[in-house]
Amino acid sequence: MARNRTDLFGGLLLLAIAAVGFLFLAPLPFGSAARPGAAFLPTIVCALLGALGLLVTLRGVLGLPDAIERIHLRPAACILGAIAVFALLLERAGLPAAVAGAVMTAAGARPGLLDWRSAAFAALLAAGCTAAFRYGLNIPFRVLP
Amino acid sequence: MEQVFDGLLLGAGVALQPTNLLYCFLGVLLGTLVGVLPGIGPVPTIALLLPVTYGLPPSTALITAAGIYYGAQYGGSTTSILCNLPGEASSLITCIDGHGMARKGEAGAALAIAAVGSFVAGTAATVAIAFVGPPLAKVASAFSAADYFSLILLGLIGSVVLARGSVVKAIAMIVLGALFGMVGADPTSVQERLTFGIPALQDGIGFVPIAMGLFGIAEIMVNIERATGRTMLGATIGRLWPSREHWRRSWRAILRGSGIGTVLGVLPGGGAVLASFAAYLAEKRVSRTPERFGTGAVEGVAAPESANNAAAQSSFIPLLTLGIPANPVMALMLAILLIQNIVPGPALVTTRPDVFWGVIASMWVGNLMLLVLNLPLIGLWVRLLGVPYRYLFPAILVFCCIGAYSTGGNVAEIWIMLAFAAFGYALLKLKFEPAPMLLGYVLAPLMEEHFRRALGLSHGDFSVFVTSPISAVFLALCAALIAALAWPAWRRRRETAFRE
Repeated sequence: MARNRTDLFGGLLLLAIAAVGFLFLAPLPFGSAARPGAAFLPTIVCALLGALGLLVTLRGVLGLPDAIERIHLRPAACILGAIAVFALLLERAGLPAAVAGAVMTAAGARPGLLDWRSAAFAALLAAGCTAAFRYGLNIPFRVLP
Repeated sequence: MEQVFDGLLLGAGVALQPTNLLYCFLGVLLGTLVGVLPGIGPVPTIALLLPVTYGLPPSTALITAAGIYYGAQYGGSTTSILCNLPGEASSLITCIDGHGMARKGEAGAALAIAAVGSFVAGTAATVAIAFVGPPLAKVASAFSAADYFSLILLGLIGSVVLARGSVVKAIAMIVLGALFGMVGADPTSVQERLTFGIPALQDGIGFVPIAMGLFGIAEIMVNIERATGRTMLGATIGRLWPSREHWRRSWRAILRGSGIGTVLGVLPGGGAVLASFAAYLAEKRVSRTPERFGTGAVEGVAAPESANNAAAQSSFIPLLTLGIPANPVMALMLAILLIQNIVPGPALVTTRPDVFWGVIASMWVGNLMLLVLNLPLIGLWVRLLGVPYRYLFPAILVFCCIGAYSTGGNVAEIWIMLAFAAFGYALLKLKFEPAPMLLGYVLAPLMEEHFRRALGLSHGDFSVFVTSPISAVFLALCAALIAALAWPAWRRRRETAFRE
């Protein structure tokens, strides 16, 4: 059983990315050194990445023990969720709604933050961002749903 | 000599224009603000303002962005000294003795020494750029495509030496970054590669979503997991003016820190973070009383705070003279110039002297403003630290989303940022440093361009990389660096240096 889990999973992650790269570069022309094709350098880079991935994986199997730091699902999901909410609402419901939605989703990251203060801050930030970015900097955001 | 004088005069003319003075002020003000606030640094801030720079003249845009970068170095020390919490990564080491001084009731003196040291360092670095820049550009204008390729390769390998943690993992991050940098249409055949059929990836992965995802959002995700119990030392700033003893102890440290910072800032992957660590260690080594370090030694504040500011400025040298960004912040500066249709390189000094000298002169002006902003107004910045993280992190999150959207006017950019945030979080958990990845990402397209041009000229003959004497020297240095990295004795030394 592998002892160094950060290196083991890190190495496997690199190997997986290199494999995906190879798969999608395969149909593209490789070319020659004088006339390199679209896949020429990326394929070389993928090969390097694969070799390094293998090395890191090996270190994971043979190296000093190391555990992966605990992953906290709730904050991670809330932060990433807040970005998703922003992206989904921005062009459908407008900037203020997207800002408020993102702030409230992010507030779920820690227990006890979903209160009236966060709601008030969401409203304040929505108004402030709309004023600054839509009207101040003239970035063409939709304002109303 | 005369050229430098003329150049600085021209630069002063540009920097002292009322609009540029105003934007320089706004830049350093904003820089101090994000420097003071932990969790948001110069990269997301400059990225957020990228769309604003479209409408500005090139020199004004660069002056503002530069102000944010070195302004953040001033602001970062405030948080380190008063709260034992680095406002910026480059002020991490300042916590040790800065906060130590604060506990002894000398917070005011520590803040003043940090600000004065930064100012001296800023002045030294400005002079260094003015003198080193133009001759370096002249040398670089003789470089061929093969030389450039080897130089960038040397830079990438050099950055591994300076990266923290495992060497193999740092190299892997650079290679991975290079792969991300090659996504999008192939520059010569315009054939799409690795886009997975996503239209937003046709022009490649945008710098802003990748940088904000990796450095802005992933950072928040890790920060929020850790309890942020802050120990405020608000009321005990004490006397602002340092004592004669403080000055006596710190003036040499300031000068040494300025020197170390100026040199290390030029190196690829270097910049403010590395410079502050190196200067601290050097100061501890030359000190006759190293045991005082860690308990509030004024040299332990003066040296790193001078060094980080000097490095922030001198890292402009490779960008302005070679067109090669040495760190992620410089990659943003490159983006700002490219938006303005200015390709930085050896020709910049002669084709756009207003930009080159204007930015240099503005640095000194900006440093002067920062001295005023940071010393008498210190109380204002301290009060800012009272803003709870519960309001700070959603605001940063929203700003990153707005920034990602507004650079391309496309919601897809926000989704790409989300993907890189998740990826960056995974990398941090697996103990990979994301910084080398961004460097690889930025430099890969440049490398590919020079690689192809060199091979095109030599009709596919790889010997062009060793027959050009300049390129051969760079490649030999690459080999020496790799050999040194693999050498066990060297490896141990590097590891102990980082552990300290």
